[in-house]
Amino acid sequence: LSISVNQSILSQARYRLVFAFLIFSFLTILVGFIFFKAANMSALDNHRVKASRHYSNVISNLERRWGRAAFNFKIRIESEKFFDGNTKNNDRILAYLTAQGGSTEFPSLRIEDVRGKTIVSYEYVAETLSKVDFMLGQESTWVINSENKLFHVIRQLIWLGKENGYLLLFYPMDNAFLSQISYPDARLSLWWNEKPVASSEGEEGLSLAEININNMSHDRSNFLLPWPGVENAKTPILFVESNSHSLLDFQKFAVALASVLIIFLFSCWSTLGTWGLRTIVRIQALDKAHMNFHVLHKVDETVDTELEAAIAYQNDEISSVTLASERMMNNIMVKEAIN
Amino acid sequence: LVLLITLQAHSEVLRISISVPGPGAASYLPIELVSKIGADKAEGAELRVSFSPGGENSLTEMLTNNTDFALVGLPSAMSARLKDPRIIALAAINDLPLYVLMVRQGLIGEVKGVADLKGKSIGLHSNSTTLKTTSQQVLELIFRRSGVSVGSYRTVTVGRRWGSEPLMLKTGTVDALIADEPNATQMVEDKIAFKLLHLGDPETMRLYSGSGFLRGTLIGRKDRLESDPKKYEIMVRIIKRTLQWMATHSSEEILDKLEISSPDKRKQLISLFNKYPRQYSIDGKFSSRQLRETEIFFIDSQNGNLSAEAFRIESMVYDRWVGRKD
Repeated sequence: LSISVNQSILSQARYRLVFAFLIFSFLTILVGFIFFKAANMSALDNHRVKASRHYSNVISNLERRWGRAAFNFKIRIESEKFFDGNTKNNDRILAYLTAQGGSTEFPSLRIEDVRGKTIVSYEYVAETLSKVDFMLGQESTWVINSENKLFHVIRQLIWLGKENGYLLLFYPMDNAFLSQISYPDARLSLWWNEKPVASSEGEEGLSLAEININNMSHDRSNFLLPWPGVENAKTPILFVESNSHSLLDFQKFAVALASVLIIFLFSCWSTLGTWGLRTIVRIQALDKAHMNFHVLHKVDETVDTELEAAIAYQNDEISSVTLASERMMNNIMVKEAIN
Repeated sequence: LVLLITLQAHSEVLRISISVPGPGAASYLPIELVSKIGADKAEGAELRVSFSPGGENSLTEMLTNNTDFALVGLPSAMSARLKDPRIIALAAINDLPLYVLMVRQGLIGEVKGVADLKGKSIGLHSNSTTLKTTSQQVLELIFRRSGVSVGSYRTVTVGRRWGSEPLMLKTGTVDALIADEPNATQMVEDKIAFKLLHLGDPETMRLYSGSGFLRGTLIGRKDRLESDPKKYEIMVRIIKRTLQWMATHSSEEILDKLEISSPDKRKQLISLFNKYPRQYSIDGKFSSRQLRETEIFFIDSQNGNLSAEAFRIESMVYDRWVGRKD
């Protein structure tokens, strides 16, 4: 009886080992990739939720700060009594506002009577201010001028000597404003009528925001945050683009995964592989001893050497079978000698 | 196809913005001229000019991303540079600084010299304790040299607008201020104020050494220069083109381009251009001599500020595109 090479236990073991390693590698890469995607998506979702909460708080704080500043500013103007007496002296109030410099929150303002007629108009920075329409009960609104500059307008009553009028305070929602509230690795842009009007990164930021808002579905870290306001009133939308890096870097992750596979391969080889190879060599030696005995019909030195190699100083089942084979060979030799 | 080419060409226009004190300040007129003569379009760009009440505001506009560049007095930019190393100087716009110390008409006879302004209210184009505008530095230097110390007068902010300076003098909110031309001449004609001292006069320049400093300068940001050097190079080319155009055209042609039609205003500006032909740089080049003089003026006007004394102007001058002259 002879066994061809491709049916040998060594080639069977080799194929099985390679196959097992391929299955293991495939499953490890698959699980690793799923983990990689899930971890990054979870981190980005978490980052987006935190950023959204952060900017919601920032907006609330800003609204409170502007409200306080507007009220204090109104009180300061009223306490100067510019509108008391019969003669209106706009020069005095304009000189007063000029001397305030840029120290107030609102670089532009307008004072109107209750019928909407402008009494005083002041712009610290040269601006073209548009007419502002308020809805019933609305204390603040938004207006965009001809130069595409958006203003947050806060309106409140102001005493004009004989009757109340309105003080309209204009806060510019410009690049500078967004730069002040942005944080590293984030680009903010403010949108009005589906067009960007300001960006925390200046002119370049506006162009990039226009491109990226169309690809927003591909990027989980970017989100839109409508500015809160009175129901049915139009408000701008804050577009937050987070340049935050993924939790796991793909290259680093791939190197780590490859390292795990190499370590696993080395561990398997050093523990199972070498032991399995030694075992197979012993079985092959036993097989060879049988083959030689079959051809020679005697237990000579070559058969002895192969049997010793099969035992290999081990006390296990292969050694037991080898010793049994040796006894069987000796019995056959004795029987043949008697016959 | 023509439409596509037109759209493509339009989309490739480089948008550039700059903040300038004004409008109407004679020293900064070259910037108002840029788009009128098409210097920006010739370089494939579109320049948007936004006006501010003073140099400090213009620098803030640039540093907070509202504009790409600022055009301010170099001493003002040096003062800002002490706190912000991003600030760099790119091209000289002016040659001769023209500042006028104006006193309100009501004080004629009472105020005959700078020393008489002790205890008065003085208007500044400044609203910050962290940055001194060029006009503030000029004022403090003139006052100190005349024996009027910084603590012996009151300061009030005045905006650099056509209307704000006369308003502040007329209402008596300020007694004196540093004004620009042609606003200063206009205030004299309107009998709102009189000129006490003109920095462009040779006699004043002799008395106040260092007053030949570099004023109007194109200012940019180092971080932006590194991220977008092309935009910076184009902006400098636009400035050079504009200054060269001004140097080769008559005062009348300049005013025509600026669409200044008021006969009075034209007369004032033509007189100013003729009287001070050195007001504008002809090529945007930095002059080594003027930079040294600016450094002396800056250190002198800062009086005892150790960081100003240690500051060297060359650290912020970026003359790669404009070049240098003696």
